Amino acid sequence: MNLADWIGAFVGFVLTLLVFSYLIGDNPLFRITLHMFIGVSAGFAAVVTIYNIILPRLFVPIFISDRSEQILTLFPLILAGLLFTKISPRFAFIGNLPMSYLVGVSAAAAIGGAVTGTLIPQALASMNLFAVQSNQAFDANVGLRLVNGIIILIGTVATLAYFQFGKLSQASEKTQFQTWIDGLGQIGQVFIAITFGFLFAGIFSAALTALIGRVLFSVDFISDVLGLFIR
Amino acid sequence: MEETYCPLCGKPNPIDNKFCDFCLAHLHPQEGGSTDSEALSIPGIEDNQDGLGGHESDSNVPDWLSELQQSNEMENEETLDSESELGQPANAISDWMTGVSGDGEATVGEVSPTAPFLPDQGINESQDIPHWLNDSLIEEEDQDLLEDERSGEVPLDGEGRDVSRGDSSSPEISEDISSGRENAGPLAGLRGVLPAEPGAARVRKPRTYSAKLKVSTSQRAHIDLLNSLLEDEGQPQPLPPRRSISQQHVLRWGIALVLLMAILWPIVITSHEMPFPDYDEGSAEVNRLISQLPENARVLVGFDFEPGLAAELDTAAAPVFDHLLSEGALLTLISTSPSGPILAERFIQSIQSDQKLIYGLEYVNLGYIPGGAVGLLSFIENPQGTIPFTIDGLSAWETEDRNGLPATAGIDQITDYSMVILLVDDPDTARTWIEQLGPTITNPQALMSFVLITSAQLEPVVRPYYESSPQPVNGLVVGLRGGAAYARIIGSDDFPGRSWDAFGMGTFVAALLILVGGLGYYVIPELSRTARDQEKVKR
Repeated sequence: MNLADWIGAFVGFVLTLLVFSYLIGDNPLFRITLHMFIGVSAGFAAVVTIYNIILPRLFVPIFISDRSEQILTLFPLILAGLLFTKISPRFAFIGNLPMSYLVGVSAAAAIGGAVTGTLIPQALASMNLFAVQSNQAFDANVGLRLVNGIIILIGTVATLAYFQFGKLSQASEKTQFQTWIDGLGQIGQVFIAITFGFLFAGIFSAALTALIGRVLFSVDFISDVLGLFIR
Repeated sequence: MEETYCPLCGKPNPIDNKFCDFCLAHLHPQEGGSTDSEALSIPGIEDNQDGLGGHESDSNVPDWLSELQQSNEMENEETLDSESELGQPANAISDWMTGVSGDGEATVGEVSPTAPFLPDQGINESQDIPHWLNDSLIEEEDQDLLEDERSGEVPLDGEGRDVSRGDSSSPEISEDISSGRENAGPLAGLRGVLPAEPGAARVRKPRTYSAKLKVSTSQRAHIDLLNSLLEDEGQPQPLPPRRSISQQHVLRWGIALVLLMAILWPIVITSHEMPFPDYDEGSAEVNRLISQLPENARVLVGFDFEPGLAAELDTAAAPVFDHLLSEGALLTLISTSPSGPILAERFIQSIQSDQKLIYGLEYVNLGYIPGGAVGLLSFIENPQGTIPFTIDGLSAWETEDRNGLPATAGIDQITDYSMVILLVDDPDTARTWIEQLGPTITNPQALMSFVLITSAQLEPVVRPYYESSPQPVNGLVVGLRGGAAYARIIGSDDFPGRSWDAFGMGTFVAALLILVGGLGYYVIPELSRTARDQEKVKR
């Protein structure tokens, strides 16, 4: 390792220890590390945006491009400039034009993507589990697929039933429909509990891997330092 | 001509009128009640007088009208004293009236002017007027109004009492008021006459109410309680003293110590006792897709994760990229996160020890796509127009007038890539990529595959996309386990066994802690309760 690597590794090791100091409770060292991380992230994002987006995409084309591209670049430049009017309450209404454009386009892209990329394909996929004839062409285990589909169907319906909030006809007496919904809701609770357990296991696994990464880094750094002195 | 409006019927009348031409109601508030002079001001009556020739035709004028004419000639009679207004004596009633109200001796040839207003048998005070009508004719409010209006004129006795309110000294006045006898106009002397205007149209002094609240004892107690609560809210409460070492601290340190020991043990010992997973379907599918890539295939790699999870994703992605680069793939790096480009560079540097990658020739970093889903959609539809330069300002694409980089040569649209690999740790980002790229991937004509290398916390979100049919996600490597499975599939020895061992041991100890903690949560209170029950039985 060269000197820069050593300095970087030392800073990383110290910051790792400062973050681990949260074990003894919230303390100034942990907060300093937190603020440093937020500041560095914001600064890095600003630098990336300026050098990767604003300069090459907004200003450079005005000076070195042909006339048509220069004119086209003026539109985003003007719209971006109008966004700065949001700073002043008096002229903030001017900034509504680029804001409405941004919100409208973003909403259209997000909703269109959700419908065509998630809602319809996932609904079709759930229905396809029961298409026995088409399944036979791909998979010999039609029975297993059917069982899988039935479990998914029951889980979906039961989970939806758990979130079905109805009004009792009388406080002391349940209707037959309400009894059915309650029974399905209890099954749905089981599916929800399994889902939460799955989510918790995934989050714990990711966090444990991150911890292992930091411990490995610390152990390697300490061994490198000790190796220097032992030599 | 000025007009005034009747308070009863609302119709316009000349300003001079005292009575409405339509309903005969008073147009102006009464001042001192009905007087003889007011009666003379009735236009109809005056016209009749003119028509009758005034005093020359006295013989044809009824007695009551002649009396009114006489009274009109009296000077300064506007202010009516109580005696002339309220206590008009019974003998002041004209003869024709007394004849009607008395014994009904009017002859057939002598038509009385009041005949149309009276029943045939006359008025019997004690029998024919209903009791409710008799009582309501003069209400208490009317009496008050009369008192107010005639203040100063009402005779008071020596002790200041109003003699008109039942004093024995003026029985006629009190009798007229209480009995509701009309004291002016053509119906003077009659009882039980309905008023021509409602009480609402009369001007009266508004009632006055006290501004003070009536507060009961219980309400006062509630007010005091609320005040005390509000005062306490405004005063800072001293914080409870913090114990330097609490039971929570001990528990936290204990769990952290156990976990650290479990992680450190395999790292220090370096004994690879945890076997790699035998098979993982998602990893195997990724392996199959990479193996089928043509030589020098262009692969787009998205780095969309935060530095905090770099350890997991770097470890999981390392064997996949080893395999990919061994197949001769050319990489195009991109990110929708500002920190993505630097993480991509860091990852490429980390695998440089095994794969000597040349920038521009074997890989290119396009940097950051701004705009989230919109930017990504724009890049999918028009890569060259969305990101024309690399992160270091070079022209990224080959065009007619510019030479591009070899790593991106031949790429005009997104489907020119053979594979898209996404390293992601955020559910929203993963869903955005899948949703925007999914329609292109599921298109049968597109010979392109989409592979995810994700954090373990993302598996519940992305697995349905992988297991659905048609597949918007063709391969899935999840977390450290997926990376280890891939390393086993390709037979790589480079996968960090220390990480896998530490992960296995840490997961085992964590499961043990959860089991022990759960048992303790239910068993310890149960045991203590049983012990208490036994002590009670002994006692």
